[in-house]
Amino acid sequence: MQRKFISFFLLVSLLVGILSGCAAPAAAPAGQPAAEQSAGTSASGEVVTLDFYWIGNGDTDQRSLVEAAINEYIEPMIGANISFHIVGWGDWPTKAITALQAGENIDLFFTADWREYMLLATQGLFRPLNDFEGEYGNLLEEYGQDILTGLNPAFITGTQIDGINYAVPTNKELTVPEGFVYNVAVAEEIGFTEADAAAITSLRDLEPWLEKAKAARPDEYPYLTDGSGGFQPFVPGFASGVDSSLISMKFAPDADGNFDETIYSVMETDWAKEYTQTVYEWNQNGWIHPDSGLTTFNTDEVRNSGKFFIQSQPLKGNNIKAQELVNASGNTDLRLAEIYSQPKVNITTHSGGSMFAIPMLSEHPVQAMKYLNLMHSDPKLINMMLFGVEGTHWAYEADGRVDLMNSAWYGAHAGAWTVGNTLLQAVTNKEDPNKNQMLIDYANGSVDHPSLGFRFRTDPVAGELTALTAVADGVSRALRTGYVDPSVELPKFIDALKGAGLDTVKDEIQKQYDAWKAAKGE
Amino acid sequence: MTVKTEAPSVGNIFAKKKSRVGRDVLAITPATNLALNLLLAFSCILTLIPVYVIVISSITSEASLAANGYRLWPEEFSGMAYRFLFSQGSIVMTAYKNTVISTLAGTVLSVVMVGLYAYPLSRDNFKFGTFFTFFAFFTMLFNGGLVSYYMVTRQVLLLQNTLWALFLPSAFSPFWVIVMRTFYKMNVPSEIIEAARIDGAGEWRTFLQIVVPLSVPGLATVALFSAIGIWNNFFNCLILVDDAQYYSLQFTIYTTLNNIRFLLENADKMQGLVNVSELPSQTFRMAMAVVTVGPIILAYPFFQRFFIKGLTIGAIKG
Repeated sequence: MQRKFISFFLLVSLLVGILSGCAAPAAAPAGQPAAEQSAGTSASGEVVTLDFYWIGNGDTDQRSLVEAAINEYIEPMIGANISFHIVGWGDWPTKAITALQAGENIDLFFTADWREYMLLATQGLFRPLNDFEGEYGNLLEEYGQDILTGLNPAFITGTQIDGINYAVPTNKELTVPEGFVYNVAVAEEIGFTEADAAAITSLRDLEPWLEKAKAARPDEYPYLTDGSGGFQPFVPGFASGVDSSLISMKFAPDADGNFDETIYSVMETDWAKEYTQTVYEWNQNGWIHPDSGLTTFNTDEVRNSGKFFIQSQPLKGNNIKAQELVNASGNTDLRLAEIYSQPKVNITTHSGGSMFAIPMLSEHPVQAMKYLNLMHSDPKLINMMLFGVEGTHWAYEADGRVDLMNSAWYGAHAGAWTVGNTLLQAVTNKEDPNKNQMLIDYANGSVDHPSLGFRFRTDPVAGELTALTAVADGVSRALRTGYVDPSVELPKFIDALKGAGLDTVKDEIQKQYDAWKAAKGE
Repeated sequence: MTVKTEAPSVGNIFAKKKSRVGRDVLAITPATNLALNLLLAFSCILTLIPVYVIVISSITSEASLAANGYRLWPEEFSGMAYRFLFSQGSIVMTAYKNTVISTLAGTVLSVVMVGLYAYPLSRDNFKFGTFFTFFAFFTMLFNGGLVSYYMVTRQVLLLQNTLWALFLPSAFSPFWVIVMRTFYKMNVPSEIIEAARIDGAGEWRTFLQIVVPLSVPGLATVALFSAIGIWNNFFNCLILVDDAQYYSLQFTIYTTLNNIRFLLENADKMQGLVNVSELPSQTFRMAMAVVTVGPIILAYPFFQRFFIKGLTIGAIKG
């Protein structure tokens, strides 16, 4: 009998093992949003509750305190209370988007070009905000005047879909050129001065310095990379949903300021050949970490420990990015400086990096827009949303900066770049007092890329895109970090991309781009 | 009853050398024995090392982990991660409490529901047995998908942001019903039930006094696996809870890792908006993994007691 039990137990364990191995992750939600109109209607004068879906690190037990303080402040102003739902970065699709599709009560919903803005807007889940024929009129014009006056016009046009705004962008840095941060400690060891830094205009210019850095610190890998950034000549995030390292457009204007609007296959260019060859040689020389080809390789951790010489980064001007990275590293010995590799050009993906939409099923779109307007005009609300309750979580210092006493709330949500108008925010005592002004001013003198505001609808080529992602998965990064020999692997990769439908996707992008261009010209 | 066990072969290596004459003809040679033992010991070590590394890196200081990577013996120890984990205001303590409560409640509920549903199905004289077996089995093969699950649990059952959300949706499992039905059939002969009936026992008395004691090993298996299932479940919490007050332990660790993974993989798309290093540090994540494993590892020896108790020598003679 005991043996019987043991065999039974083993059999069951085996079955459980098999079943759990087979169990696929829950299928993606399908289906139409179902209208669930159950909650109390908002008659005039009644206080409504706005459900605010916010991306971030996750909820905190300090939320109720912050909500109470904000509600006390905003209720007399707009007749509404707020209820925050903070959903983790990675949980967003399963949690927030499912809630949106299931018709949950949501009044304000975080969205971005990197977080399904185009998809959800074209599915009709977001309310058009500046549509005169809409049920509630032109919400943005009527209740969002402060938003319109505060934002750089490039933000408004850059986040439109066919001339309509489905979400309100955050007023933050607009111009984000690519460049590098380098480790000042290593630079001093090898005699790399600011003049030397200014002279770097291509990857090959870095070679003598990488060689010296390797010689100075033989057990470190001087060039820290995940395969992206640096001297990329193309527009990042050009067609949303399509990897811009496969199909894109030239980023920089020529000497006369004219843009080349050809849509091209990046991997087939001479630049790709030269770039992959360069990083391959560097990898062979031990200048690039051997794990760089893996998606789990955490470049941030290496940078925080200061065991590198140079890394590509999107920058924000005035050494702000370098300072932010140092603050976030928790490493007090780390010193970083910046090198710029691109001119100041405004592109779609930077204008739509952080937005809030009002879902179609929201019952209180007017109050939601009023709240967004406050987020763009009321410093008191903005600082409460950002840092928490004054006196409990933070206090002003003599110079107007913020001393964070309890960072639970500050660390729960996504951060300053999602809270309305960054110009009206206070900064923490670790940051430059003028940081926010410098971020906004950095966009002065920038030019708009001709593709600013172009957004790609992926559904006509959904099958090809899945195939392309499958082909590019792993190989693309391996090539761009010098993990494999490009003279063998690059032609193979191009053939595989073409087999997966690269040209079909390119033609579709061209078609939509031409149509968008024609509509814009009208 | 006693459990008679052969002396383990490890001890025999030396014992056999003394009296070669009396060696069992079927015994393997000492050399093979040694080789096999070494092989098994080696695979044991292979499986234990990752666990060891997690434990040791959770008590490594952050700086030495960043500088040297994972090591079997760190340069500098630190209890920072645990101090932070159990500090005031950390959601880990709340999550721990939620997980323990829902595991206990969910296990009891699960055993009761599965035990009661499976029993009639095992009886040959239950008319609708086929229908109810199929009724449960069907849901193993087909389900309504995420959106309908979401709408039923939130909008019909109103489970969002309660402790119930953590265990109620997974309390009933058709798989365990099928398993228990088979177990009842195998271990509770219909003759015993007949005998009970002749002696005047009603259905409840038969079930509670005859069937349940005979089925303790099966029920204990169900209890063990549902306890582990609920302990490890993060999905209910992911879908149904957005208030930190009701987070479960597994969800807290899952969401942290998932956030880091998302931010790493999408770094180029997000254009440096977020820095991964603002998220919990390596040592903190490791400490979380350690406390998560904690109590549930004790479930195995605890349930073992019941396995032996519930065994019985056949009650049917002839």
